[in-house]
Amino acid sequence: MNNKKVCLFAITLYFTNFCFASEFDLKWDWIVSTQTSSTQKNTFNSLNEGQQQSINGVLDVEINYGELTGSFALKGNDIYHSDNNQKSEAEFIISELFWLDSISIAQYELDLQFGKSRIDWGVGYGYRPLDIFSTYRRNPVGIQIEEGVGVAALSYFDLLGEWTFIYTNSTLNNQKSSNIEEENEQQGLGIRRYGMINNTEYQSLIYYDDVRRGLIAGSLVTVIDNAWEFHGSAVYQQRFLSYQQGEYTLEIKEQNGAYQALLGLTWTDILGNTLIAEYWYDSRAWDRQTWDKAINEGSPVYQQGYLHRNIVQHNIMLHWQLDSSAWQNWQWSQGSLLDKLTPSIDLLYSPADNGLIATQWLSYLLNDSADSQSELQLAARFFTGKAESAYANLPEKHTILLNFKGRF
Amino acid sequence: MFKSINKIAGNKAITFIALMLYTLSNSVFANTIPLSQEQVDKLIKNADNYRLDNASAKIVSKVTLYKNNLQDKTRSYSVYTRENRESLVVFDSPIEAGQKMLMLGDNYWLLMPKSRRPIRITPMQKLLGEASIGDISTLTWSEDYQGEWLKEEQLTVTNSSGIQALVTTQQLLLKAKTKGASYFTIKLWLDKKSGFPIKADLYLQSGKLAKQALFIKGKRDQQDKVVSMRLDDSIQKNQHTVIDYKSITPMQIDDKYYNPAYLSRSKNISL
Repeated sequence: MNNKKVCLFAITLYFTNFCFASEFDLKWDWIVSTQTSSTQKNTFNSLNEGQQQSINGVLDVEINYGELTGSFALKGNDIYHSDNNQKSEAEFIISELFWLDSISIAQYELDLQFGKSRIDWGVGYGYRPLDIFSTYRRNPVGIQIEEGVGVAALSYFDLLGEWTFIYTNSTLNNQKSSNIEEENEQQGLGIRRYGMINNTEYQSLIYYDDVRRGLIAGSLVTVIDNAWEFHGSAVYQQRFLSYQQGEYTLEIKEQNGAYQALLGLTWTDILGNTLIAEYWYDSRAWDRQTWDKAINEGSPVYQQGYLHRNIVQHNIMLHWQLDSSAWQNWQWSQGSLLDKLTPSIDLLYSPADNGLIATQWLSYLLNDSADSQSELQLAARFFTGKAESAYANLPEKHTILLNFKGRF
Repeated sequence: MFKSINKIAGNKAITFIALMLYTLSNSVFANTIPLSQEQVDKLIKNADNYRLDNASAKIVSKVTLYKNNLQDKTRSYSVYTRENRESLVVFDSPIEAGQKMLMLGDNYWLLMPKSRRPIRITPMQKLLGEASIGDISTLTWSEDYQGEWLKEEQLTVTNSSGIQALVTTQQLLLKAKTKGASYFTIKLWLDKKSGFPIKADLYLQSGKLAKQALFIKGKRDQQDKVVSMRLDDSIQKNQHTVIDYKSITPMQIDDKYYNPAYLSRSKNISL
């Protein structure tokens, strides 16, 4: 996209905020992200090592006008890159644009939604099996724009639940996708029930589309006591697409029957510690034997195995976060700069081959008023584990980011 | 004549002694007679009415956090409350626009700005944060706490004009009877004459004193009401929060707004 046009659009959007603030409801978010990545020699590419630095940014706005909602993002990729051959690029992304209103049919009041919208039914922290329409990377360290899908939906809300009849079309992406993501673009029809029984909420879903040819899914979330929460979800689909290994070749093939399941627990204490532990299984991902063959043969084409929704079948996630209010519990940290600091860490472990991805975030609140907020975040992700593991053979050894973000 | 004078002086002395004995008995002997449970329950309900006297209401409040007596930040909220401990909290500050919290008894959901799915949170997660949502969304004690009478006590109270007065209070101990109660125990002082809440000490489960609350009296609909509450942080002593109740209006909104599935739908509450 022409950079001048993008700049002009951004300025127009910005001034809209001032001129039409009373008619439009605008919510702005922005991120400037500086990134340094260290690539490594791995079994797939022995020449690939070194470091690279880049600067990326995004300006994102959600606009509400009556029954219309739109989310738009202006993304700058490689505004600066240490490799002179890497060209900077601007993207204008329409994440969402939909109309949502109530209509009455007989004595029933129904919600009607039409347009492009994020349909966020997933339950989980590290992975959400019920995100069946769009694939979002969970807990990214850098910039991620979550795009919606084309949707036409009719919803009925009863006392403590919802019935939804839905059509979706996931071919409306603005952003580039991988080959397998493009092959998985679908359109289909389904019905979903959300409800509560005592203090447990559940979802059940039946969906038919032209890629998966039938899918059933469900989830449960319940609060066990003051501190503990349990969540679980599962999906079964008739067909799925995955990369199949040939003799130093790889191709996307359709296969029968796949399921994903997730179980998780959350614990929080009064100090402000939050712990999440999850296990999930994705039968679509390559198993240990398939990864062993890929790593032993070492053909670069096998790196596409990393493009599946989950890299490995069995996954264990441990997450810890400390609420910034916790620092007031100790005398040494009371009233210090620490009381605006939120540390967190994720450990994603592959038990089949002892691979590990460790991510840590340190978020510091710089400014917080009723009208604006800004934050500095240091994030680092390390890909490690046993030398023969899938994670240890990712192209990157580690990625470190300094994100400056805010909203107004 | 002198007999008359003596008689008058004698009567006055008797009257004076009687008055002294009466005052003494009020301050010393009265607090040995504990109130019954029924009386305590009535006192708490009466105290609730000074804060919220409608089963369903919209409460607009402004929360200001002070550090070292300097304003640090402000937030605004609209709370739609109804019976059975159900509340919808809408975060009104521009920076939190779109954020909501739904409370249905002991079940809680948090919707973040721009999110399309509410997150289920535990009672413990609800208590975290500087200005606990519980402080602004819970305006009654009778539903979350069981009270017992402790004693009578005289307190020096400063009114809004800065004038100090000695007030006789009933001191109650409130113990949490629901999972979602913001504090484990509360010591509550109520004006003995009117039942108006004067102050409260708010304790965590560990026994630690978390905050001390002062209730500021003002007029709403020409009646004495709690118009604001000051919370002194007992852990971070340089911090205090002032919650101003801008308006409390009887209001009932549709059942659908108390449906967790509808939380991400309701951009604006339609009146």
